[in-house]
Amino acid sequence: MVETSGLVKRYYVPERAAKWKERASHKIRILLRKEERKTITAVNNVSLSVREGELFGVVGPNGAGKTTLLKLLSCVLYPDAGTAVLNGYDVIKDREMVRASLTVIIGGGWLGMDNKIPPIDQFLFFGGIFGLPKGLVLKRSDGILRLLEMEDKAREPVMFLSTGMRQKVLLGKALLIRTPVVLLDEPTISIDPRSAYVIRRYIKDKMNKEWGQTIILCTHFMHEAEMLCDRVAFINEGRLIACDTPENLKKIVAEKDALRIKVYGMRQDVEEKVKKVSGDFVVTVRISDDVLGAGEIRLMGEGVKEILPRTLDVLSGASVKVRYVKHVEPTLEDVFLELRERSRNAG
Amino acid sequence: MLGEKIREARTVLSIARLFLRRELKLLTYFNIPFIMGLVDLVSNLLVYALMASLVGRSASIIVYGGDFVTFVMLGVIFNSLLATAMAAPRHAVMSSIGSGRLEVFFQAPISLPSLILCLSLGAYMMTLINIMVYSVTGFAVFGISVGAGANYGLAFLTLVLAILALTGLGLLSAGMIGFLEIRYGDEPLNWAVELISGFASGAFYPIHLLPLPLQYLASLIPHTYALDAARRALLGSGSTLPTLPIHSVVPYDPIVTDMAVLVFLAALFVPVGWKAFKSGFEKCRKDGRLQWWQ
Repeated sequence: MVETSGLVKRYYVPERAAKWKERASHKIRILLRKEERKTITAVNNVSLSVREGELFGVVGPNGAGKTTLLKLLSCVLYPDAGTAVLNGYDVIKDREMVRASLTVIIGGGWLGMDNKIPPIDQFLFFGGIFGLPKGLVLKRSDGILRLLEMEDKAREPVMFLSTGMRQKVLLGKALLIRTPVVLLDEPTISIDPRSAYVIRRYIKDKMNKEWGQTIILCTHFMHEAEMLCDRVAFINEGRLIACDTPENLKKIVAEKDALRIKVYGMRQDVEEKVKKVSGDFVVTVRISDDVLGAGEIRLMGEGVKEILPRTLDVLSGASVKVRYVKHVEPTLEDVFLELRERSRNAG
Repeated sequence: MLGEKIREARTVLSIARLFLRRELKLLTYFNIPFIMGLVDLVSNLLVYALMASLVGRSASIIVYGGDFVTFVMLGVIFNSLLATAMAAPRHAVMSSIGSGRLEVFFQAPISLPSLILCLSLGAYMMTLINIMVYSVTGFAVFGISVGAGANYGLAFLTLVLAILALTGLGLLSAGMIGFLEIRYGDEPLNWAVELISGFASGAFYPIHLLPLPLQYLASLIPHTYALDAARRALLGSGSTLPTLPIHSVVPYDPIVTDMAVLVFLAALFVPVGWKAFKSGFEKCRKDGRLQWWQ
């Protein structure tokens, strides 16, 4: 259904020399082709194959190249090398057919919406552009607004809605136009946990299972990918580092232990010290409250328990309070961190 | 084949209607500023008309016929339409880039020419509202009147040709966004044309009053020929006296010369502008700069 082969996308890095003379000479040298512009590779030789009716996850941290990949698939950007075929159409040669085959929701908050226009009119506008009759748009909009629990906000301009609600309106547009392929970029970002759960179920049960839509879901929420996706591709720094079912991916770290240490009073300098004493073990620190320094430290690796006393010593020496230490099952996040580490070591 | 073309045209028309409705909503959502904007137009017109009435029937406009107030009013009305033709494509692109809507539109199954046309409709709609206010105020309050021998068809044709030529220039200007990597504000071509049209296109005073170098400068932009021809057609003096440098060189009726220049400029700028616009956008898509922060 969707197949990419060797996709590459580079962006120019804006260069800002301090002096105008340097800037001018740099620009002239580029124009004369005596100097190359600096680039970053956002998508680096990515080859993927997504089957018809599959819910496929693309997972990676911010800046990994997920959104760029979606933009390449939706013909918004042109690849520097490689190509992709979507619903049987080439993204370079058959752009109009590709665009007619897919719905894509990129970005969060208000992006891509007219902030003075209410959700129902946004739906009528976008439905109309995609050639849906007004009656059908209104009928579908009713269901979508009910699902998103926004019936009372249908006629409220988007600028008066909260960030989460704006995200829901964006998502509503994807639900409105039922194309064979749907590309979703962070669909539940900024949405409260209960609504996010309802939306995830809708994506899985309605769009994917009932309507048979092939969905590519980009997310940095590992649990979302684990919960929804048939297969998951890990992307880091533009490269594809693994692609398999969540179960198979987790086998990569099956023999390893994972520990979760709940902490208060965590600081940046302590994080460095913990990483230092942990040696080759994978350490992740996630702070959920910067003021209190509340969060968790995850340690993963074979025999991780051996370094626990040293880690606890570092924490107590730095007056970081430990609430509890828990042995946990490795998650997709652990797999990603492990694979990222391996890919860094290899590269 | 023909049936398919008709279907395509219908689709574009229905999409254009959606864009127009959306623009109207955006324009009138804050209704008090909208009404105040219209009142502002009337007050601007009042200033122009009072200044023009001080001049009265100047010898310098005898060549066109009519009084100076009518001369200025027609200049203001035509110039607003011409300025829109020039600015609409660039403005459509810049505002869509800024709001992140361009990428959304690019994901929809709509061709690039149709998209640019639809995105430009809002500016034309606003200009037409302005022109209506100008015309009603001009006719009802300031008593402007066109000549008895006014040729409306010719004036309309002049405007169509000028709008085509300026749309071509506008597309070229919009293409510059891609070539020069402009993310905010004006670009050099639009800036230069606006600058020249502001003081040398003849919207507020006849070109032949300007120093000769400025008259040559004015000859570079389509506005000059459009305003001259439209005034000659509407004010109906029937004079063949030269008002632009080119009229002294070319041995034909000035209005014919103006039309010929406009045909030439339209034939030149539309394909060149479209090519530049397309190339500029291809470049943007390759560079990944369809949004501000990319």
